[in-house]
Amino acid sequence: MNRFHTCLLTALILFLSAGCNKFLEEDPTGFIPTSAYYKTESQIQAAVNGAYLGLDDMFTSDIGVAVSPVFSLEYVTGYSIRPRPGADQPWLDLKNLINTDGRYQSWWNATYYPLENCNSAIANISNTTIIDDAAKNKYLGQLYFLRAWYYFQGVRLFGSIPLKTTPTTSLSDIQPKKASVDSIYKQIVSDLTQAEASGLPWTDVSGHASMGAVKALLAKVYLTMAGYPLQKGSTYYQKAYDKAKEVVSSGKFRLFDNYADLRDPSLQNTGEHIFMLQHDLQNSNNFMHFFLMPYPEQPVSINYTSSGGLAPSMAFYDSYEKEDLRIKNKNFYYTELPQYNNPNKTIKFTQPYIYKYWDDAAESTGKSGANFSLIRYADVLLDLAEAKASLDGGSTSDASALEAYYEIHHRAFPASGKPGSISFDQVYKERMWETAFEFKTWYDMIRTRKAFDVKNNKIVDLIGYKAPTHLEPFKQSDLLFLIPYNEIQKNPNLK
Amino acid sequence: MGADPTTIDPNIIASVDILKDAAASAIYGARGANGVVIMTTKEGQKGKGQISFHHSSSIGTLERELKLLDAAGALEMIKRQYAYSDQLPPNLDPDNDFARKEELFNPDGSPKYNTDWQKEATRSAYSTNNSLTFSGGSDKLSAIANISYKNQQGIMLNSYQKQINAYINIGWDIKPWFHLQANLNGGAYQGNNVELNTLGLNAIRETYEFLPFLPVRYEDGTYSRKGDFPGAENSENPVKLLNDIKDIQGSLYARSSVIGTIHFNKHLDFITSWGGQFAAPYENYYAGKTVFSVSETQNGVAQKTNTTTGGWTNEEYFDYNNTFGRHQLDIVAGASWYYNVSSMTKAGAENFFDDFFTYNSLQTGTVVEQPNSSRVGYQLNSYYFRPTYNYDNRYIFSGSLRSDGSSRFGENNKYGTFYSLSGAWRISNEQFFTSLKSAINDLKLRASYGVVGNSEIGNYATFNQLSSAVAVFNGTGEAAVQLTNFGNQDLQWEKQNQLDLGIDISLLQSRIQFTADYYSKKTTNLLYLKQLPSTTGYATTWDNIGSIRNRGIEAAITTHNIQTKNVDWTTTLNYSMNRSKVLDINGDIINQWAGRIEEGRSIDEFYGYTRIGTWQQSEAEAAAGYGRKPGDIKYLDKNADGAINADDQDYLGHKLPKFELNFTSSVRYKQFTLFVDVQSMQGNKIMDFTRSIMEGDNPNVNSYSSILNSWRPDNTNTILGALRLPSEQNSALGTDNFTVQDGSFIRIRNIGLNYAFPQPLVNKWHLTALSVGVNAENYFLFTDYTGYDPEISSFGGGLNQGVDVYGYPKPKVMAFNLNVTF
Repeated sequence: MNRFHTCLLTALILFLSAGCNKFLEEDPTGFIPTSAYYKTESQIQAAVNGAYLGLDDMFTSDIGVAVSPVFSLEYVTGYSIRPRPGADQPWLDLKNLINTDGRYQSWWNATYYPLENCNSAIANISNTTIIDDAAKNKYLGQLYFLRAWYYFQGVRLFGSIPLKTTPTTSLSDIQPKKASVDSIYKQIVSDLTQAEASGLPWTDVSGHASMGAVKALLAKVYLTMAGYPLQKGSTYYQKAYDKAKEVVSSGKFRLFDNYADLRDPSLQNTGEHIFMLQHDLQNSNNFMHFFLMPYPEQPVSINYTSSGGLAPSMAFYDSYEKEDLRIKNKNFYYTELPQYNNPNKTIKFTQPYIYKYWDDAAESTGKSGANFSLIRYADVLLDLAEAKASLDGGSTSDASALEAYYEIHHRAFPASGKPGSISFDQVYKERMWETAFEFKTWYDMIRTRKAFDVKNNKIVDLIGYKAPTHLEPFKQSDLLFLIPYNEIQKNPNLK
Repeated sequence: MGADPTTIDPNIIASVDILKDAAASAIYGARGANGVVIMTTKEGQKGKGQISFHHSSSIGTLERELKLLDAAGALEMIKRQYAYSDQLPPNLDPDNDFARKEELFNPDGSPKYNTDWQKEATRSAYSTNNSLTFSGGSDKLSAIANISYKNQQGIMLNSYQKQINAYINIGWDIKPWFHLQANLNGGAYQGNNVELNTLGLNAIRETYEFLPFLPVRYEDGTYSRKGDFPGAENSENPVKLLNDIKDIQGSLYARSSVIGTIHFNKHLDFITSWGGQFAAPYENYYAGKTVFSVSETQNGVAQKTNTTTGGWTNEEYFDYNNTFGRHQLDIVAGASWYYNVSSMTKAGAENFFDDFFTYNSLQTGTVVEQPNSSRVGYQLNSYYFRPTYNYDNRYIFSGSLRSDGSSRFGENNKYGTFYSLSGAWRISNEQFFTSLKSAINDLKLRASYGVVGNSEIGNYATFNQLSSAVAVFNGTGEAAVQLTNFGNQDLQWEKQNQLDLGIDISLLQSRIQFTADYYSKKTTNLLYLKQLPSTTGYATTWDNIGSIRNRGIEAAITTHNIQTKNVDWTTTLNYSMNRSKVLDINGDIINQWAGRIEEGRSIDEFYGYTRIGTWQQSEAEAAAGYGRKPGDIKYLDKNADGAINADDQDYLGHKLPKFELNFTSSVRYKQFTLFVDVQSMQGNKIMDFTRSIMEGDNPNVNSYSSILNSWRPDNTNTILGALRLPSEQNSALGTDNFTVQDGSFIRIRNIGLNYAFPQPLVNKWHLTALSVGVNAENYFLFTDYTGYDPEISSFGGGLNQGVDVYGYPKPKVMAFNLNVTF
């Protein structure tokens, strides 16, 4: 080895042993790690917006034609059918439902995945100093509202479930125990009370949560707490009544004059729509227009083959009184439509279909960006009337309650006069007709433990009632969704 | 260096070595944790230049047809379904005037068409493969160059794969103290992927499920849809799907390396190796304007995805080699760096006025899809030290100590330290063995133990990730982020501890060669995508979840049965078996596709219900207790609690075989060589998801012909539930012992006959060698499995193997080969 070689060798050894310490550093560019997030107001806004995305989690399409996990919430009531067979039969039958059914897992995930986003955003935004308190409270107000929304969904469907209000930070404590239903409602009320104090505007055309939405939801929470399973009774009926009344007397909301206005794109996020699931054509389509079309398929729209997901059972449809405007063709339902591109030809159906979510534009574009109403003013009016009727022992002649009920009834029966008193049964029946197929009926049934016996046109106890499409009457064990088998496996504390 | 084997022409591969024991894979560090396949590419040989040409032409056809219902059978099935509800099927019901009724059925309800969809959707596939190689060298320089082209049709309509590849490798002794090896491999491939969307209504699935009484096209030229028959699941017909959807996937790639060896003296070398890799995979997708449930609502969908992946490697090491009498010592020490970055761009458009443009004019689509781009990168870095000591070619010891670093782990866990030790004793070289040497010419015992690290967890797993999404507010998209990954800071290297014991024996002047290995591999700190309770807010996260063990035996015996001038006969038999056991996963239960992983069990077991028959009319009352009726499938109530639910599931068998056996034999008689390759797997189970739909009791699609054996009052000895309409509950519960089938098989993978022209003739033609041959691949399969292929895996490899979801049909291939060397 000559000197040159020795030098070369030494240089190489030095080069190798020096290495470079930074060589293995990671430099992610496709996402912002949480540790580097919440540094600007835009980041805060995006995190808050992200918490809304969970509202859409159930409105996904599943394998098959016109199959969506969200339909389970209507099938389970026994008032609806699935015209296109081949999915969710145990839900339609209310028979042989077992805890491995994928719908339970979907509802569970649609509760807890969005909750983690709320928890994480609340924890981080609470600590931030980059924006002033007024701005901060408005962001937090929306998050508290959304957290209450998701927990309210979870506790009503599943009953006693884990209560977690902080983000997951380690894998050491990930098997929480179930919390009492009572404590979950406490959290919901606490979140909504904080949201009430957050300075949100009464209405928000952008579709973000508003004070109206917060108070309307709180009224519903109180009404639910007054009923089953907590049965807190009159104190909470009073609270529900008061809260609903705040929404009504704010004067910020109104019932639309025509049912068609509910579907009018120019009126979305206003008037009767207090809080909506937001869609558009570009980013987030709405499948309701397509999935609810007739089956067997009929050419009533440019694309009509993804149809048959959900329709009223004949027995439920027949429960409407003949002169009820809600069953006038193309209000809430339709039994005939003109053929697409051939308006002179009318197609008649042997079975009614739902028109509530018909999107006129989608008829010819084949795509729907229509919003979906989550909190509707009609619902608040019914809450008000129902709370007062329940508070007063089953019927009431309270002026606000009468007015609330009458507004809705009168829209359906313009010739009707204002009643001198209303009963719980009347209000409940009105609710069944008014908010049918809005994915709300099941919640009403389990909170009141009452069903609308559509054949005999009367309100009956839920337990023991056999709904039109079910194979068996409701049993106690049908009232709660089953905690998914996989979740029990991953967390035996859920047993 | 992490090459994709599909980018290498088989004609330039000099040798393939599979390294199994830890000591061998230790050389390759983390990237060899799952075993190492070393493909050595050819180098030019010094001496006479050579040009060789290889050509093969082949024709592939469907290996076996599934036994599906024909038109009459399907209508019988449907008739029975309607009869269950006392109804008439649409074709027999005079009151049902569905649109295509008169085109499809005669007045008596019998079908006008009887379409064999397996025939319609497949074809005879012609393929050609050509390779030209130039090699040679002089005193200081050797070189090889190769160019190859293949064009293969698939048996599904319009499926194909093409590839062109060029390779060059040069070895050059530039200076007495410096040798340079430089190689370059590059090319392009492209194919049409017809196997899109595994669980969706894709062309393969429709080939199984499309109703046989529907035509490919009606007389008016339009394609049939399954929903043309009322009550059937609506979907597009497979021929249309194959014709109207293109999914062209391909890549351009290049890989080169320059390796310099400096000879400091005759004992010490320094090797510096620089490599670069580049690949640009792409996917061009177009689905036509009228493809139902794919692109009809969008009026045509076009998407282009382009990825570029670049990487470089650098390795620097010293190699010291010296012999002191009978002692031979070899020490290697060095370091390596690997850097890889990959970025992707995707754009798409919808609503095309014509199908003409496909994906080549995105601007023609009037609706723009959200564009997409991403960039990911990772780095590896290793330092290593490997001494080898050989005493008199009798005792051989080697060791390895290395430190491997991966960017994928958290700050404190980036590096892991690994080692291995191995020893071999060549008994046949011992003095005392001399007398036996005529019978046993070689005998060697081997043992090794080592620990190798694994870092295959994908990138950025230690970060809590907020991923971008769009939230819509009042018709406008606004920026939003959502939590998508729980960052596990504690992630660390998985360790694979492997013991290997082996023996090599050669008898009768190597006429009989036998080799056997026993291994026991224990993986600790197992890296796995842990399933999290949803209450955490996440579905899964990477975690070091525990340990598993794999033990097995591999043995091979090769016999040269006859070795004469005119006749040569060699036979090889390979045997292998593996058993796995989950030692510790913190008591978790991990659910797989139809399988489950639990401590104390094997990692490859299926899990589900047990079918014990059907409920009979005499058992109506007992059945009602389970919410069932006569004609429903009867399941085992394992815990006898009066209900069938998830707790009644049980293990249903192993995905991995009890053992595998391969047999190859080659007989040469003068210029003819006959070759046969037989492969066999025994005791492996396959979860045939297809069966749960196509032999379910409420089908709305076509079915296996065996479905006509379903329950009827006069056909009670069956495990298939009574046929009923889709609006009735399917009495099957998903994965059960019926959907899990025995996948044992014996397949004659290849029978080949080759003729080498006699040397005098070849010389007369001024050639060096000339041979022609024919091969029959996959012509014989012996199995009870009812799907297309018992070697199926619909979900890639890993732990979801053995699941058949409308598996891709396998071709049998007849090939003609020509080899010429000038």
